[in-house]
Amino acid sequence: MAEKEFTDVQDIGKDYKYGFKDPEKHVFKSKRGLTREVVEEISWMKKEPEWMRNFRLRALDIFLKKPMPTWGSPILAEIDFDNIFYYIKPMENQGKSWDDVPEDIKRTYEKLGIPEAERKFLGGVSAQYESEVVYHSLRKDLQAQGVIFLDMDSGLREYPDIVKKYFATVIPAGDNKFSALNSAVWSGGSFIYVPKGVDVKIPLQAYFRINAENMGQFERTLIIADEGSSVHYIEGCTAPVYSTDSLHSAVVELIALKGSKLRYTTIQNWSKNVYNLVTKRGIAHEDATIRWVDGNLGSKLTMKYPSVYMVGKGAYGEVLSIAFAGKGQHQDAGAKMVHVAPGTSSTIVSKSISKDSGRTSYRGLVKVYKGATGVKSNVRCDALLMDEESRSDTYPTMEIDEENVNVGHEATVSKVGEEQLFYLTSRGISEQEATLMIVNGFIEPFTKELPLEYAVELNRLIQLEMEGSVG
Amino acid sequence: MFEFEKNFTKEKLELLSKSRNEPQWVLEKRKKAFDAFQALNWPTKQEEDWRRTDFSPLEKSNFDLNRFLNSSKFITNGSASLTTSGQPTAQFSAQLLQSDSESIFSGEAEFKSSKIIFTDLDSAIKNHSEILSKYSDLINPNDGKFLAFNKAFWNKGMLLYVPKGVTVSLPLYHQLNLKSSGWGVFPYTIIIAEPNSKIILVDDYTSQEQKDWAFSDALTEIYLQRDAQLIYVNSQRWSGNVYHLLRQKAKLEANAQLITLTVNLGSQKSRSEIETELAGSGASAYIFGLTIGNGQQTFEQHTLQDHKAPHTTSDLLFKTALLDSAYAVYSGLIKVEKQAQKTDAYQANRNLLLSDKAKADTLPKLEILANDVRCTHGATVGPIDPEQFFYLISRGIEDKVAKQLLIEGFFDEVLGRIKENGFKDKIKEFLEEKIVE
Repeated sequence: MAEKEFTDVQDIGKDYKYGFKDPEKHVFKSKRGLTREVVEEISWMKKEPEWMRNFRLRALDIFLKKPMPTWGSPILAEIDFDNIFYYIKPMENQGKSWDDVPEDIKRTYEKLGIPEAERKFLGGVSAQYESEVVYHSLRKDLQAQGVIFLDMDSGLREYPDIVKKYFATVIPAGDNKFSALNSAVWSGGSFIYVPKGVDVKIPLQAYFRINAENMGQFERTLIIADEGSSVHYIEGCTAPVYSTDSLHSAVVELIALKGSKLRYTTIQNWSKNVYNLVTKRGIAHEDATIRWVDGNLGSKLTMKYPSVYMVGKGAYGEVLSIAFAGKGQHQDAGAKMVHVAPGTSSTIVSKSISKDSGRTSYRGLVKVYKGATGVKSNVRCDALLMDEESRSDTYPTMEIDEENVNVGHEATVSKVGEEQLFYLTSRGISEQEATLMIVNGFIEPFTKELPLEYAVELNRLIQLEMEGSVG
Repeated sequence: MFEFEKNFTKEKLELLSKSRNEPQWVLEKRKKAFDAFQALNWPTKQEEDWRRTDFSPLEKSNFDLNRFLNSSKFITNGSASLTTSGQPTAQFSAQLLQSDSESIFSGEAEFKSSKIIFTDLDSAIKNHSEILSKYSDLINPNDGKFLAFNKAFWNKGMLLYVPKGVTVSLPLYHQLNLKSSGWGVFPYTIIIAEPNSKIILVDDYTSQEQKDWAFSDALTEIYLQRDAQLIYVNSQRWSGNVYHLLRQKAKLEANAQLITLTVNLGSQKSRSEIETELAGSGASAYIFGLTIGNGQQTFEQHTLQDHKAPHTTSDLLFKTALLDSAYAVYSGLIKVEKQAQKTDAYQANRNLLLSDKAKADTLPKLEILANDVRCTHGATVGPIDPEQFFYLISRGIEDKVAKQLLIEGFFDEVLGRIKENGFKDKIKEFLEEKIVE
């Protein structure tokens, strides 16, 4: 093990490797702040149909009218909406090969390891830089099977009927203040349609990068898994370190039709000057499965509660999440499971680690509507506190309107167990290593769910040598 | 201004205090609370904490304070009344039975020699103002509209004062039994346990079935000094058309031990807020709740386990069984302050749904600011275990009886966790009455 790089658990998050920035070059940048003109300008530049332009303007009105949430985190109130750039177009035309992508941007993605991962194990890649997707690819065999994987803007242009049918049906603009904001100024994101019975065996990936200071990134993703199909989508995100804040507010809508399996994996590693306020929700029809695997490592404040609405008999929803909060970070993450149909079941597993005065909060909901008989739901939250300056909260809610159900919630908060530490150190393992082993064991339910190749990439991302640090 | 506030004015408050011949300092306290009551807004359904049970009908209700002005007549050792109320005296060392117009006290020999003060609040003001003026500030009237209301307009009350080192093995029993119609009762209970004392108190609210709406707004303050031990049972068996609010706060000093059991059986809408502050190192609290709901009853129960000192323990178990269209909300928070290292805190809420129209919401919450702690919580909602049910009916037990047995079994876990037996029969009796109904 001597030759292997060893990262001490105490250093997680201290050394952010993705904080570098490129010189800012763009072909268009909206002026600071949010006005009707900015929204109209975005729509005009994208040459959008009338209905989308109207949708955006209605959403803007809703955003301006809705009050800021008073729950969640006190630092939410510090967001200066007037200081954000709502739209930055980095280049004229999307690249079909990495050679089409400007050198600076290409180098950024190389540093992030995207082209390499694409060669090795991905079925399709979408790379978003500021407001637009700068590179996009989908393997030929998947194209031949009728799989659609595009950036959302191209999706709207090329498949207007499908987009119009499903867009904003899972998360309407008025759902919350930040979904309204996204609906007004959205740009980029992914549009995926998997035809009936098609099993996409290798993951599709999107990578989101913010480069400019005070940038607002508002991608919009819509994934439709048709009957009996299956797909795994992975997203990653990073940003440079600046002294002032940026804002990322995405809306992600999933539709899993009868018997389909949809899995959505996020490794969020924004720099600590990014507000990450995201609405993610999926609708699972009869016998469909939606699984959210959600890793939150970066950002200043994350408020994100991936949800599954089980509307068809036998549907299954799952959220597996992990959150790290270090100095100056608040991860307010969680999950919502809404059981509308009988025989549906759900699982939530949440693991959080707080250190260096960081704060993690689990906030969740399990709702069982009348008539949803035979529902089973199980929630498990575990929190580790690494030092006495850190904080952990658990705020679950269960609303049960049906008798014939089994709903359970369990949570624990503790520090790294002294007995476990003693056991390991008494076998000659240093305390640092032992702590790391315990932390790794703690988050293992999460890491073991990632595709092997991706888990390796994740290891780099969280600077935590899951394997190789011991033995 | 709505009807409610029109009827509860400062002039009425002065009248109330005067008619009870209260000293000036009591009136001043009432007035201070009144100012808080007036300044605070009525809770609305827009507030997260109040959105699940609607108490707004109260605001529009027309309660006439004039009917609740008079203090009750205090009768000591009225043995005749003891037998009519059907309470055998043997299982309690002392009893205080308060009705609309009377307070009847009786005590066994063991109790009488103990120097314990166990009396209605009016008598306590007359005879023990030096104790009362020193305590009675645990709950701050600015913390809530209804508790400010109680502190301003309280019209029944009780003081239990246990001097240093005094222990009484048999429980004390306090009953508030209301017979009139359309009453409003605002009981204020103060319990002070001095160092190394040990006592058990059962506080029982009950009323006759009546036509008009009634309103109960209760407040309990519990002071547990070093090494004191208290078992406090608060049982609410109001009749079906009562709105009931309870705020209970206990403050535990070093090594004090509290067992508190809140039994909610009666009323139409009820909301209990049970707060336990572990203020001294080594303090421990066992916080239990038993609720049975039927018909259209609504129960909302809030708990706070507030760990402010190191090496403190709290263990909470709230069990609720719901029949018909009953609805229960449990919302509990474990809060561990930065300095409260070595905290061990547990919180569990178990809900049994016995009808397809019953509903339960549960919100168990944790806020942990210290790291060397062990905090766990759990919540479940589910029906009767079909296997257990089948087992019973396959042995020839009727469906209804089998259900009753399983509900009793469900609650036995709570009572089983309290070692002292003296008061349990009484609680079982209350539960059975309700289960059979």
